[in-house]
Amino acid sequence: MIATPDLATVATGFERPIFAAQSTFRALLNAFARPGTVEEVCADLDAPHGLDDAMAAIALTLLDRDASIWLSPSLRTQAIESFIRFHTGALQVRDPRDASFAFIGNGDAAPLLGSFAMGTDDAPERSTTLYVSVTSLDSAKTWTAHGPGIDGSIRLGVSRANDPSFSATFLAQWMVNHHRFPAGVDLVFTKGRALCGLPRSTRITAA
Amino acid sequence: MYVPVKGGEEAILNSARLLEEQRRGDPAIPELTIEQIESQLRFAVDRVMTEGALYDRTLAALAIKQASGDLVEAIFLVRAYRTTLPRFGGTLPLATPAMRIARRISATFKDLPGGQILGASHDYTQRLLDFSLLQPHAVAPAPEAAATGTPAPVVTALLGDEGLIESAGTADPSLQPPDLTRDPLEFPASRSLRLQNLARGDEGFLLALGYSTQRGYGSNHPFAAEIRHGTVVIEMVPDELGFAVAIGEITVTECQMVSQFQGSRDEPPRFTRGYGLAFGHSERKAMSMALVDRSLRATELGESVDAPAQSEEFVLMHSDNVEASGFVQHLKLPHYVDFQAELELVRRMHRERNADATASKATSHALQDHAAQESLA
Repeated sequence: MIATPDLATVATGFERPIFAAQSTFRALLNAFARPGTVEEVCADLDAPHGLDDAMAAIALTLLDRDASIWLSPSLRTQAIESFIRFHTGALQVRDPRDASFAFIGNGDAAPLLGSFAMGTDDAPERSTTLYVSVTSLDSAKTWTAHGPGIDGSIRLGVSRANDPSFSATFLAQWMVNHHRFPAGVDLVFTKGRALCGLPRSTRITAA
Repeated sequence: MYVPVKGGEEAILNSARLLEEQRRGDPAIPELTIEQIESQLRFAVDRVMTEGALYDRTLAALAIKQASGDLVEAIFLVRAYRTTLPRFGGTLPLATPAMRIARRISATFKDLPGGQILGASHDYTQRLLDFSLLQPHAVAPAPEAAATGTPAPVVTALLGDEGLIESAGTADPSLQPPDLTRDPLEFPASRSLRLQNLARGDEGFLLALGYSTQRGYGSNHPFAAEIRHGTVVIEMVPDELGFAVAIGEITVTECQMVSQFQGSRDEPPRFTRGYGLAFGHSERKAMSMALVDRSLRATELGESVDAPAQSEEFVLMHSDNVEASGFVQHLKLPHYVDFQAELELVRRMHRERNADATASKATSHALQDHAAQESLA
């Protein structure tokens, strides 16, 4: 049961909603257009405790009553759930396959990519977009990415404090996802205000 | 070779200025006010709200003023504005049986609980132009009757009590009606989706289709069981409260048509329904919608689908006048390159034809000459 928002304590969200939503959307658009580059959310906002500013801003920008969101266990707090419920009205689901958005907190191991909605060949947009909180977006750059929007190749590396094997296990799953094209999930790494996009069209190899 | 016209931007800016000037008209004539449109062109406002799919009399009146009375253009303005509005939630279904009635008639029962209330209607006028309206003049207030407070149950419910009519549909509260402004229209469409499409559909189109069903293009022998117009309360259940609160009132017109009864070996025959609902006082629209609704249930009710009004794809794909107007009027956009290709094709065909004609003329002359020579020889 989603907690009834306590209006006295729910985080207030965007300072200037229209401009903030536009700039956040632009940052996300650029992140997907230039995979592997790091974009910043610049909007003034009051985010709930435990949620990256970038994730909170994305929630306020993209979620509405027609959207469904899967929150990882460490994000299912009163503060975060009531923030999403009050500001967006989005449906909070328990089955990842029902979700059009997924927020994975830094305190949780990332679920298998295959457990989310993949979309279909004629409706590839119906897949889940994952937002994965990481501890670092510029740690040892152990990955090389190629593909649409990348000039040649780009090095990147992420680390997750509570998920030390993430970097290794993610690659295999990502390539399986990539081969599902046009279906498959898209993914954004977030850390604080920073975000880094990986559309399903991007290929990643180790080193 | 035709070349595109230059100087387009300046022309467009000037066009907008001319439009604004013409919208205002002669400055010596008082400007039309929104209040005047709302209160004295109420049927135009009703139509723009219904087909614009947005209940707001002031916005509809504004759109009518801006569009200088072009109602389809005004509907477009309201639809565009609608897309910018955030949604807070969904209401409970309108409790039309509890309507505060302004007009309520039934063509199936003469005496019915709650009575026949004629209300204000053009139906009883002689349709003679009233030249006294050329000048403003005071209007005496109409006589008032005390409200009786007698409940006016929906006529179809009375039939339903006797088991004579099919049920109105499921009352399952967990079912969400589909929304064709959110998901693309796919076929086959559920009745809920069809009703949404028809509610927003062009009145003229639906009127013609409804008329066609009466003239034998998929006939239903319909009766107007009830038409009611009045005010209904809008209720929604906010998350925080968990119970319904009234958030406002709107006026609507509801039409229940009953038609030819169905039956099978296992089921007794029952009357079948057609339903229409529109914002404001819109009887023609609600009635047309009900006729077409019933007509589109042909497949569900085991009837053969022969007529345009029975074809789901034909009706639902062409009912939206914003879409229709857009595509028809898009022909005004430059199609210079397309047409150039056509022009070249037709010219080439002419050249080929002329070449053939010359060739065959030459051949026939040659044959004639030859024949002439033969005959001389």
